[in-house]
Amino acid sequence: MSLYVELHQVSKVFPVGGSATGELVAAMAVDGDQEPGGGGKVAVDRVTLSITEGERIGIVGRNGAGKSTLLHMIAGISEPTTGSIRIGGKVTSIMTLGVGLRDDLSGRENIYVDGEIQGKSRTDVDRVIDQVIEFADLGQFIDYPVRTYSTGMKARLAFAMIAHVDPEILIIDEALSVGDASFSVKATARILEICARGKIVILVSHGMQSVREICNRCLYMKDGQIVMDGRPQDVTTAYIEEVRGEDEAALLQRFRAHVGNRSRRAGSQIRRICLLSGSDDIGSQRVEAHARLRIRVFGSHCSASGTAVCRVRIVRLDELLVFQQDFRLADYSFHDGEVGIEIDFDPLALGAAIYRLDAMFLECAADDSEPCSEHSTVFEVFTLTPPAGGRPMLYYPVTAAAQT
Amino acid sequence: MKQPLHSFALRCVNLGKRFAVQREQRVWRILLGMDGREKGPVIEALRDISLTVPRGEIVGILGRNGAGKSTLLRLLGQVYTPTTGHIEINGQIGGLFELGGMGNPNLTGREYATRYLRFMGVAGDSLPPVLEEIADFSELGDAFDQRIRTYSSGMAARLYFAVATAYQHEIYLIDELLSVGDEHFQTKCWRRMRERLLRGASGVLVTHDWTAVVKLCEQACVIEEGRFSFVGSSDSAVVNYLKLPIPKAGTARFPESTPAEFVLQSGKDSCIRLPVEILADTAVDCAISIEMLRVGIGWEIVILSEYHPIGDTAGSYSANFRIAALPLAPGKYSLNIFLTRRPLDGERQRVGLDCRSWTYGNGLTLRVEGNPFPAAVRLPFASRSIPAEVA
Repeated sequence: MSLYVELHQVSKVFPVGGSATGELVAAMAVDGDQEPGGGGKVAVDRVTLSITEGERIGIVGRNGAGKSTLLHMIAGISEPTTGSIRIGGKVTSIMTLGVGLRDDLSGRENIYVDGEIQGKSRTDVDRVIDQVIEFADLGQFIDYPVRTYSTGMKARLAFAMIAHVDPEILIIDEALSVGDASFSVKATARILEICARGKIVILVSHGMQSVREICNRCLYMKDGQIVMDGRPQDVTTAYIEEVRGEDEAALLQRFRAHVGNRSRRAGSQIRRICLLSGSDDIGSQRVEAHARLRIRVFGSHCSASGTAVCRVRIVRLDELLVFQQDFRLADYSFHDGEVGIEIDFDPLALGAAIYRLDAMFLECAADDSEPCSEHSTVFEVFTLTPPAGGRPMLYYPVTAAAQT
Repeated sequence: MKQPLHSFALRCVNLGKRFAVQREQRVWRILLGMDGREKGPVIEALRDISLTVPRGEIVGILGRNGAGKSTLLRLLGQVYTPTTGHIEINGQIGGLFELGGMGNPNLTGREYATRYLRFMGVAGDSLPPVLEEIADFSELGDAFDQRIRTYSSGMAARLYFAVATAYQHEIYLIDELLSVGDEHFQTKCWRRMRERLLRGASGVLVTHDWTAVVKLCEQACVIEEGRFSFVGSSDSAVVNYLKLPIPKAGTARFPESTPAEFVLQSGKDSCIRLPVEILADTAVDCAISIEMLRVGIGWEIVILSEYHPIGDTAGSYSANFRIAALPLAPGKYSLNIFLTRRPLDGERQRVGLDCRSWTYGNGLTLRVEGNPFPAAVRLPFASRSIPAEVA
């Protein structure tokens, strides 16, 4: 018998608002004609999907896109509101690790009980139990009741149990991030092993790397729907692009507290800041790392003295000051009193993060002087090719040569 | 001005916690008065834990799964009573652990926040602005007025974090919390914790994420099998926690003559020359990273090089890493250097041959000299004046 998972027009609607009593009444009135979108929160919206044996599916999407809800329905933890799900094969799911454990039994006893539930005989379990225990690596705790375990230990036991029952259809929700680093390395290796045996694996993850490593097909979910279905490399790239590309307006909206323009003195005003990314003159709040960035500041400032400066600062959103420079207004003014400064970073060496850009006109460069006017905006530096081994503050070229 | 009565925010002495491993019918035993003496197997979850948290500081506690971290936090938060020892607390405690514990998933985000704040004694006119602040910080939008059970786990975590930190507590007990939400949300969480610290909060951060500890704590403890195996500055605690095995250096190595300190000039074209010895014919690569490590304030990789080939055959080499117009501000940095065997086709992991890194406890220092300037780094740029019409 070959394994499969088939979803046909599956929707899940969670009721929102209303009273608990109202919901109870609605639940008791068995009418079955609830329609998706009818006053509830549509978590999964008419998803049709067919998975065949040997497929290892990764599901990516933002928080709240409906990934977990979809998994819950496939795992049989919740029922679809409408539509049908057909499953050939036995589903094993790792959702919230440790939920199925019996608190008063020891770890060892739990392994036997779970084996029985999975339809294994005691001899079957005896064959693998040593491996399970070794994998879980709980030491003496294996013979203590599960209620004495920490969350991480429960997760390890649960994972070890599932990983050794030879699952047919395995569903994993972010479980790889559980536990400390050494355990998650072990867990990932184990999942790869299971995958190699050609069963169906469905994995929800925020880690694009693990999706690329483990899966051979990838779905991108957005607002409860599958918006893309294809090779992991393509889909994850598209997903990252799109998430990154999500409205710059949204970026500005989200960090609106950092965006503003004000003038404290008549005759001093910063009218506009624009950011030009790349070689073309397209204004952008999103800048690709390693690319050229030009910042232009336009305004006017009437000053009696010649000491006035425009101070330009770049502050990473965690308040780390990464750039500060004063430009003497006299050098950047035109006869009509207009000021225009272009600062050219070619290429911009800043690492991926969100930054605030402040420009201010000061009467003199003394550090404590009050700005006459100021203007702030927010921009993001992103990269599609993050370096291995960490996220540096700067993407700065280091060359090396060896000599004997 | 109100003077603090004690110099510490929280202190515990010889704290221990044992759990009886009773099989069943514990309730009956207690009711029948049979629990006076604990018999049978006992788990010693914690023992001899002594800890002082100075006012205005967050002390880090690093440990792996099952080391007793959460038990300790529960003791400090008075969820459990200690079996031995005692705890002194000077201030109001806000727990950032077991979040949502007081929540009923049928509440809306707003109702949950209101309930929490009332519980903490915020009422009347001071309530609405705090609620607004929570709605804004958690970025839940309209979902703030929907029930928590319709939230995804990420949304719920955002709500709980926003609520628990909306109000300035004197002491925070934090369990892994700074891993909520996406990257940008995490930045916000960090900023908020920093703000709380600046306003004089103290706390305990329990985690297996060592980067969080170096960034937030000056002092840290490593907890292993229920007891502190190390107490000291957080960077030493990290070395002690990671216990990274230093490679045997049998194939290739940085010789003894490797300088412990390099001195470079800020803004100048620079070169770091590393002596490398290849002892047996092997293709060897070398990489460096420059990290800013200010214990309790920040830890960050500033510059990271790729792996560069050094040589394929036995011999003495010099690996010269060049950085044009060194973009670092004057100050002290840690320099980490790594030697690996060049991966064969299909190999995913590099095999380490030798290293010098502060996380291994044998790091090198990089001192950058020059005139100080306000920013953390020096970005190369050019400027010119342009008329407004250009845009």
